[in-house]
Amino acid sequence: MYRSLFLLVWGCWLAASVHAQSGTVIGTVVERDGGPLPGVNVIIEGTTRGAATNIAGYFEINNVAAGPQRVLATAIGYHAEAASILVRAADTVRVNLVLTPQTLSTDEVVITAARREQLLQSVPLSLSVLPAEALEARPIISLDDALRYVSGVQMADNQVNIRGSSGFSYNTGSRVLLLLDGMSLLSPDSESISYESLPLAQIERVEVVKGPGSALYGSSALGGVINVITKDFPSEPELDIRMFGGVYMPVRYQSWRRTWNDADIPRPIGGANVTYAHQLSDQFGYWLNVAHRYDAGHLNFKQERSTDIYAKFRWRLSPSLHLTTLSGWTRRKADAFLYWNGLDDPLNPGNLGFADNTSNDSPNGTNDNLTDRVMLHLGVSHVVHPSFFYSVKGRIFSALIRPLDEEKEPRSVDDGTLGFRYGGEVQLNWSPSSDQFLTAGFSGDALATQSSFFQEADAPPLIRSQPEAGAFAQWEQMLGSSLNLVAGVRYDVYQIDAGNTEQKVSPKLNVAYSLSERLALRGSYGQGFRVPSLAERFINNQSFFPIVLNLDLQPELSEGYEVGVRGNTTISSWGIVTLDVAAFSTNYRRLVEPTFVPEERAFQFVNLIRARIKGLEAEVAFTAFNDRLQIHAGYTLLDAVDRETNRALVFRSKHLLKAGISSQLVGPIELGIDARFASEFERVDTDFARFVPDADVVSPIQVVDVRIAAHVSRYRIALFARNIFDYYYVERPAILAPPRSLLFQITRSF
Amino acid sequence: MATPFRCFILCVVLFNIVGCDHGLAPPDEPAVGSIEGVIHYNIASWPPADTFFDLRFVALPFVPRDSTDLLSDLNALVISPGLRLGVATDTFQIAQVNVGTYVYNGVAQQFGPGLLDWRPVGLYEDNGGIFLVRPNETTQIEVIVDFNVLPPFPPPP
Repeated sequence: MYRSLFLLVWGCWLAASVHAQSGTVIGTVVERDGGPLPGVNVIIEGTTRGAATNIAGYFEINNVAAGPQRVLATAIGYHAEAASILVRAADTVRVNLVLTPQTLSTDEVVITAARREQLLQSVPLSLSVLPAEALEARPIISLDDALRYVSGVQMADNQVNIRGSSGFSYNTGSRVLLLLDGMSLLSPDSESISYESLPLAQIERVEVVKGPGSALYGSSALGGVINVITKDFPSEPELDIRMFGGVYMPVRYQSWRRTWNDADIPRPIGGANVTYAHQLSDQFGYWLNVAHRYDAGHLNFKQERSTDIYAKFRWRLSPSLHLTTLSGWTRRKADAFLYWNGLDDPLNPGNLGFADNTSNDSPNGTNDNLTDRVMLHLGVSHVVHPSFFYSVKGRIFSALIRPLDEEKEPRSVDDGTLGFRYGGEVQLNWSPSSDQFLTAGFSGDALATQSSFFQEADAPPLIRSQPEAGAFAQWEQMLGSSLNLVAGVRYDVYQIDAGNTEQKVSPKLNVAYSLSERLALRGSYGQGFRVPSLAERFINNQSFFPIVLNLDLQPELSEGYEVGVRGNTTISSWGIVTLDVAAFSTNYRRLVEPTFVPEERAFQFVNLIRARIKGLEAEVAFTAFNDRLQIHAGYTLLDAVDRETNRALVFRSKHLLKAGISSQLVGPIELGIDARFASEFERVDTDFARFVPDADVVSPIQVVDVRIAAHVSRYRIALFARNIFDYYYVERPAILAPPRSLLFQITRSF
Repeated sequence: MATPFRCFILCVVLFNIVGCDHGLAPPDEPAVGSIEGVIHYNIASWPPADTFFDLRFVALPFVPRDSTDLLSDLNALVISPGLRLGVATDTFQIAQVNVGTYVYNGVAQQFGPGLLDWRPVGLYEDNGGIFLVRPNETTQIEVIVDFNVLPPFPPPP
């Protein structure tokens, strides 16, 4: 009884003393033109005290602790505004805030759809954007980690597949074009993509164009284009240091671990990234990015170590003329795990034929290499007139791949591959009036590669080359305020073997119709093509598989149609929903597949497949509380048919689903969940399973990643659990995808 | 806050559904036996050692029509460790052999660097050339190899 009475008195005293030590904050929130803003959330930062403005824009917050405080006003569609105030006990403080309208996220600017900047809302084709914030929030160690979060994109190990375009072609010949600031990063030998060799900390955004895009970009844009846009330079110097470390957890099945001793312990992964950016003056800006990464691998013989150095410089020679350089060097030492030893031994590489298979020797299911890549991109842009500018670009990208000997030292280049991709382009942009745009240009590039894989055993090194040239033009015409018509065409000519040239004309036609400021319909038609890589044409080797060259390979062709609708709407005053729905159909001809040819007694890349892929894609995103809560989901339905056999196309899933939630609702804590699901491949290639045990084993994909992060002062500390449910699956035949892994990351900004 | 709350509940439900499925798992252990063999060579018939890229005992559950057939189902082949060269007699053991009937069996020589550069140099001929591998049992076989009298390949129909 006395105890209860004491607590009651103590509670009253405490409440009274708090009241006595608190004050009241009142005020108004208005727009820039002075108009009141109702429904604005006004809070005292770091507390639970807050209120919403009434119809007159007025708010009142009581019981605010005395002392210095910050008042934060947020409303959807407006930039947040904060003010520092001093609250005195038992006093009332008045604060008036002015909010400025915010460009909605749906008004994002993109560049890849038309080779010029335009609003995403007005782009007449399917295009997804991964902004820098999405990359920084997640454990993105290489670009393919990021692409796995994009709707309609499916990774087959390190091969990207947009809306079913690619399937799996043993990492040879990408049907998606990868650009870094507009420059092709497809390797000069096999035209594969090296996702880890990018300046990840200096990426502004990644744009993913879904559908054939050769009318603007030429070869390889058969199924889509991925353009990695690097950052510009901040006015104040920025130094970021990011370190991460973590482990792949051991797989749960003892029978999988028994043939590899290291499988019983967590396998480490770690790295560091240092980046510095500065706009030194109006004339000169630059950034540098240095990264090192080590990955012990979740499989035996899948260890890799890489170092990347990238730099970007810009000189403004005059207000209308500037020169930009982007250069990079990457070195990667890696065991390439090619295929497993069967589903009963998936952590160890397998062996072809009659070789002994032990986990101690390097079996031929792996391929250890030291790879150096160097790239240099030079560009000059000149704004001749507000309605006319042109750019001239030069580029060179080289790759040196050397196999490692038993001591893990690189062998001679004669045992490996040395390749160059070099060329340049000129582009003109002219806008004769505000509703007309002309984009035109021409380009010339060449591949030159020497590879031990392209020659008979003991034959002298042989250089294989493939020059190519193209010219393109695109006209955009606005009709009234609602209708936008785009027509374009590109002509390409390739010399694929001495005296043998191929030509291709790739047209495109797009229509966009705005029903309102927030709702737009679109329709598009486009063609794509891909000239087979040097590797597909000239590979002639017995080291891993018996493969023979095919000089008669023809370019792959695609022709796609799409209709879609993109829109957004606000929900009350605190949330916005965006929706994008598309129906598409793409016909493919002469798709190249590695096929066992009995008369050759070997595999050979051949033009084999005529296919049709049609489907639906729906993306919905919900953003609320000034971007502090983001929910998104994307579903893709694919019907991929081999028209030669009328059966399902190999290595394509029928259903793809991506979903995620990001929240910063609780103080400085960020929480995020990303999930990706894909149904089992409808069909798999059985030729591979003749050689590799259980290569026809497939599974659905059900992967969930979770993250938690906190901002403390200038530090960001994050903990990631990737594949948190430890779900075992394959993205491509005969390689077990990573099991659960845990990563810790700390970023310090100066 | 109703919508975020519903999303949270939906996530919890999805988590439970997803968390129950663990994906790929080791296959059931197949029934296996083993093979032990003795190979007798005509010691005078050994070719020069540099003509051997490899030498193995190979058991097939099918009769190949040509060497390409070997590639068509490479995974079905049962292959011994490498055999010694220039000896009169050699032995081998193969464990973890899938049970079944093996109909074309013998010693094979790799005569070139290619994956298909193989030929039989001596066949198992007892019991019509066929043997069985039974669960948890060891099958004993003997093969005679005379490099001067190579078996025909492809085998006659």
